[in-house]
Amino acid sequence: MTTNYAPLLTMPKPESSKSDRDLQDEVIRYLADARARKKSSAELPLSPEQAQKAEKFGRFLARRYYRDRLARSFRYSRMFSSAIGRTAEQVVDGEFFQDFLNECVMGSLEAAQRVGQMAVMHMSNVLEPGVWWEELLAYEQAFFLQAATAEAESRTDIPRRGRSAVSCAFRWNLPEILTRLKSAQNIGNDLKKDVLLLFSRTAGGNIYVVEMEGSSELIWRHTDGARNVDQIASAVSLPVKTVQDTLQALSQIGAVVLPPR
Amino acid sequence: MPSILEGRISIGAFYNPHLAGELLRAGDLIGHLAMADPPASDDAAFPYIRDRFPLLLHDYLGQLSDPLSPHALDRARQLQDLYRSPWVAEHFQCLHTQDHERTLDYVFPPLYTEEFLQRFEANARVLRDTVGAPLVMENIPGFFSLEHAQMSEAEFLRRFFDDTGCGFLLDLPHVWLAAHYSGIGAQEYLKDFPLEKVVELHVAGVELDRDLEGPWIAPTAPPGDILDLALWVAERAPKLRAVTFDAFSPSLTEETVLRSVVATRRAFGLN
Repeated sequence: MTTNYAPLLTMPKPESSKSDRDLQDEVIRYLADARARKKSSAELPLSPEQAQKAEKFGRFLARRYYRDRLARSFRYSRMFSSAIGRTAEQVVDGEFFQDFLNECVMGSLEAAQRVGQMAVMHMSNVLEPGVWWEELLAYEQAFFLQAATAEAESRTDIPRRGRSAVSCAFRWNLPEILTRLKSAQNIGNDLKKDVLLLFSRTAGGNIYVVEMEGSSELIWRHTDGARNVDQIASAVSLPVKTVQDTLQALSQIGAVVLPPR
Repeated sequence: MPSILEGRISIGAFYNPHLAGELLRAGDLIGHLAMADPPASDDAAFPYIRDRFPLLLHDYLGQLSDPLSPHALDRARQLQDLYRSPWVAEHFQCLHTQDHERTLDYVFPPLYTEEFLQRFEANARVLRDTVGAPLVMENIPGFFSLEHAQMSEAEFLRRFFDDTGCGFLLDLPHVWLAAHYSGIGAQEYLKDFPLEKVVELHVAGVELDRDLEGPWIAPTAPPGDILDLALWVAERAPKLRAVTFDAFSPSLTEETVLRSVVATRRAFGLN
């Protein structure tokens, strides 16, 4: 064994029976969960001094994570940063975020909901660049929910919605607004249109935003985690095969979780 | 498709899609581009980028502490088909739990133990065989330590490279930070590292971080310390082929990228 790095090295505790990989998982959970760090580090081979450093590192990771996800998700409103003097990611440097860092479970849906709300509040109190501003922020908040939720889906016995999947009704044609923003075109009243968008993410982290209408919207609305396929078909008055096909398509974009075959 | 020339050190950067036009206009200044993310479907500049620069596959392919899924391996193969990278990079990291319930979403090293060494070696071989290209592995710094290590980082790396024949992607800001937080100099920290295995170097800046109350990696130009260290390593790394300015961020500016590449080229006497 090399001894040049003595401050970083000690021999393993002989009484430990868990695998090193399992121990690494415990360390990851500890770093990701501020509440776990508050309780105790006694279960981990961490000296009090190193536990203090781990606490700093956990806060660093969370702040970095949400800054990154906010920047990626609120990228259209960011185009107006010079006009409104704000960006969504500024919230991670704010006073409220300190409290959040003391409590958050990084990557959890609950944490993503809290940070998304903080960002929208921060970006709302400005001279609005257009009457569609509030809807743009709602779009970006729903997108952020997908980008910042990293929890795995648990197994299920009946169809249910993906953990972060959410549908939002808009009074403006958001997909077309984004296209015009990207190409610096004017946004006029011609883009006033009711659209229902479904936001979801896959286990691999791909984010989807799709427009829903007709039977898919009906089936999504009735996939509530309480009904099986037959019950959904009955509730929406559609053939079971149609419901199965639609649920399969929704599961491929992470909007729905299906029981294992 | 362009390639990195044998017998010369290429100085390059990461592909930042928002700077595609500037990268294409930079002439011969930039020798290669590392790809941290696949090109977006609406990235109209990427075909020109691919025609113009040798590309290095440096995506997140999966953590090699665990077996890669068939999907992850398939994705790695597809990316390599797209880039034709002379080597493919991954990291000595273990950042998400086995059940995928929690992730740190950022560089985090494994415990340096026999078990992890075996896991990394087995999974690296599978990835290398799948992509059909040499694999290089990047060192990852730790900020705190657990009383569980069975060997030093240097020994872990040396044994891994000796056993697998993989190449070494030495990230110098990572080394600088690991040395800093160990309370020793960077050259001293590198004393037992297998520098003869180094194929690529990463350079970048470091900045004070409020949470860490100390320095950490930053998407800024490499300071003199890092470039001096790069030269010191290059003199001991006969297989070195590329030095890459390691920064990718939507907020990164053309000025920072070009200034960093110019400074690196100058340090290597290539301007």
